[in-house]
Amino acid sequence: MPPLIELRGVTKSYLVGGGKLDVLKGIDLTIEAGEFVAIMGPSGSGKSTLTQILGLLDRPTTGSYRFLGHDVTGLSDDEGAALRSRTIGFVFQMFNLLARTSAQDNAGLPMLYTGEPGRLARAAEVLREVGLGDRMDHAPNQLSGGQQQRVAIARALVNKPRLIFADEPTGNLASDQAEEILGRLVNMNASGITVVMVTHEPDIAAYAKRVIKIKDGLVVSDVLNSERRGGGGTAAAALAPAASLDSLPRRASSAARSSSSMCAPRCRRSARTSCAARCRCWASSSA
Amino acid sequence: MLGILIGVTAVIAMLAIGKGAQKSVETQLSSLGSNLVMLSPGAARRRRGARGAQGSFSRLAMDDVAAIRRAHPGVVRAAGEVSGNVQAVYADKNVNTNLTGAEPEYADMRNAQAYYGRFFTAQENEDMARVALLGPTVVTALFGEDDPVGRTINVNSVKFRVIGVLPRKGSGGFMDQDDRIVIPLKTAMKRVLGRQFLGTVSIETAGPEQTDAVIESVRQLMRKRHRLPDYKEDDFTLRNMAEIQAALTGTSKIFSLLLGIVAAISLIVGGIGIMNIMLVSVSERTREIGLRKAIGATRRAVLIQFLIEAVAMSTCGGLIGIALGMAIAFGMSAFAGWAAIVTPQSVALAFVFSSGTGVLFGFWPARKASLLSPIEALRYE
Ligand SMILES: Nc1ncnc2c1ncn2[C@@H]1O[C@H](COP(=O)(O)OP(=O)(O)OP(=O)(O)O)[C@@H](O)[C@H]1O
Ligand SMILES: [Mg+2]
Repeated sequence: MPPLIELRGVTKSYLVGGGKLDVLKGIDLTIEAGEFVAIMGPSGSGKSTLTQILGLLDRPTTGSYRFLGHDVTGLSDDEGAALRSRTIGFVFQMFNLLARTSAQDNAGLPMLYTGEPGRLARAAEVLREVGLGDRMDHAPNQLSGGQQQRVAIARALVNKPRLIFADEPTGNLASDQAEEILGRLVNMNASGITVVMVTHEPDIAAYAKRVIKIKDGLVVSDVLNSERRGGGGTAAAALAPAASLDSLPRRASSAARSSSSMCAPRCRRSARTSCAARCRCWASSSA
Repeated sequence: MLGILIGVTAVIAMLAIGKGAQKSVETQLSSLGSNLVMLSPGAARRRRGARGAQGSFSRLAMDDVAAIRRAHPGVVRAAGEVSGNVQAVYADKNVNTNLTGAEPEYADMRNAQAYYGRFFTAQENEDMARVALLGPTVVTALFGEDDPVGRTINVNSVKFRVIGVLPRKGSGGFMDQDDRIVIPLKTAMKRVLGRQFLGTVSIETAGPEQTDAVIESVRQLMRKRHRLPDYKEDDFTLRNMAEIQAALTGTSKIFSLLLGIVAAISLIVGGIGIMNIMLVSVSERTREIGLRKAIGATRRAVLIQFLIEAVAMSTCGGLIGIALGMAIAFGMSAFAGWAAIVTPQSVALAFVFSSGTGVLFGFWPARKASLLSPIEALRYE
């Protein structure tokens, strides 16, 4: 079985004001199915550019990209669109929901383009999965930021993708809502979907199984998040996510104590107050 | 959208008026037979001046008609006519209408065989019988739904027996062809209008190729009978109705053409308006387009989406325009008395035009949208 994603010597340059701006300067990267990868790096380092290439939204200037073993550098726009709609889901920092359109229609939008039947039923199903079963008819302006991002996640899931790209999915959210969204991503990964997430923040990257750091268009570190015990989410986490997250703060202290040994290394590293709670979550869900 | 609206309104109104004009021309034509030449008293050019100046009497009498019948072998038949305004009364109802005194040939020459009942005979004309045929408008005014045949009406205080109803000709633009009573010529001249001379003489020729020769012979004949010296102009007018028909048809065609140009221009203006709206919409919705493409919309899908929006917009304008155009057409026929007829075909045409404009002018913005790159569009602020 070929790797899901295989980049060899990928570069990307933009022509800006007569000059050439090299954003990616030779990226080699392999991502296997089932991974949860966080891409980190300073602003302007090329994270979004890389994700867009990985997500078949853009083409590399040079280098090769094999997606599921197939060379995809030469795909036409429409072939790319067709491949994206069936295999890839996107979650953006800005949510990018259609205004004045119900959550259900927003979530079902990708199915318009695959032409699969049962669009609204499937949209309702994924909305229930993300805990918005009672918000189907709400337009984006009637939803909180976190709820909007959950609709976006439902939209990313509606075509049953193999791979989800999330470019700073929590960048516009308050920390409690961010945790909720990250929990969803962890669960999605647990259910077998590969997740590639871009973030600035180490404690968000800590949810991933693997952290890739890039700087000035080059990969500077690529480490497995060994501290993240057992790959984080399990089937149990996938099935009972919202409740355990919502009730989390109250039970945090006792649980943190019981699982402190597992969480200790990462907690030390990121030194955030929310870390304990998160450790607790994984501990309880994998117990 | 406003432009489309105006354009479609113009299309509908244009077609309605064009159709109405055509219809009224046809009406007039059908009330004339074919190959008809009309002889009327008075000079053609200075008719009014001549009359006013010296009360010039050029008169057409019954023996002129008899002479015309023998004037040329191309004359099939000729008949005199008089007409005037009369008041017709039945029971408590009365109408002012047009009276035509005619010879029996009138029925065939003017396509006026009785639609119901019968036409009068030559004998009745000789006898100055008081029998009348009524046009449909007069029938409705005097009798409503009742059967007029066999009833007695008063025309200018003279009793007449109704023997028939004239065929419906329709209102031809300015004049209601059905608002008339036809009675025998001699009855009209002696008993009702008190005239000694004829208003017009209709001459039917054997065919169009004979018409010029007939006109020339009749002209010579009339000059001789009126003893006109060579230096004097004709004191009568001969009109070839075929030429008038052609002129009328031509005029209504030009009229339609002008309105068509107005409609075309406003559709183009409207189309540009739609294009502008669509371009604005495409740039306002750049992020949406980017998103749609990112989640799998092909170029075609985006193109079709925006085309449909453009067409929906123009069709919407078109529908309002159709309603407005019909209202205008209706208003014109109701208040200005113009004949304006809205046909289903013209509505369909206007509909096709308006949505066609949407496709045509929506295409460029839609194509622009479909070619947007998803990342550029998502990055767009
Ligand atoms: N279309 C473009 N034309 C020119 N330059 C571009 C274009 N897109 C990106 N860049 C440049 O490429 C560089 C990398 O951009 P990118 O969006 O990948 O950064 P990033 O790592 O995602 O940053 P951030 O964390 O701020 O989102 C930036 O310097 C940016 O100015
Ligand atoms: Mg970025």
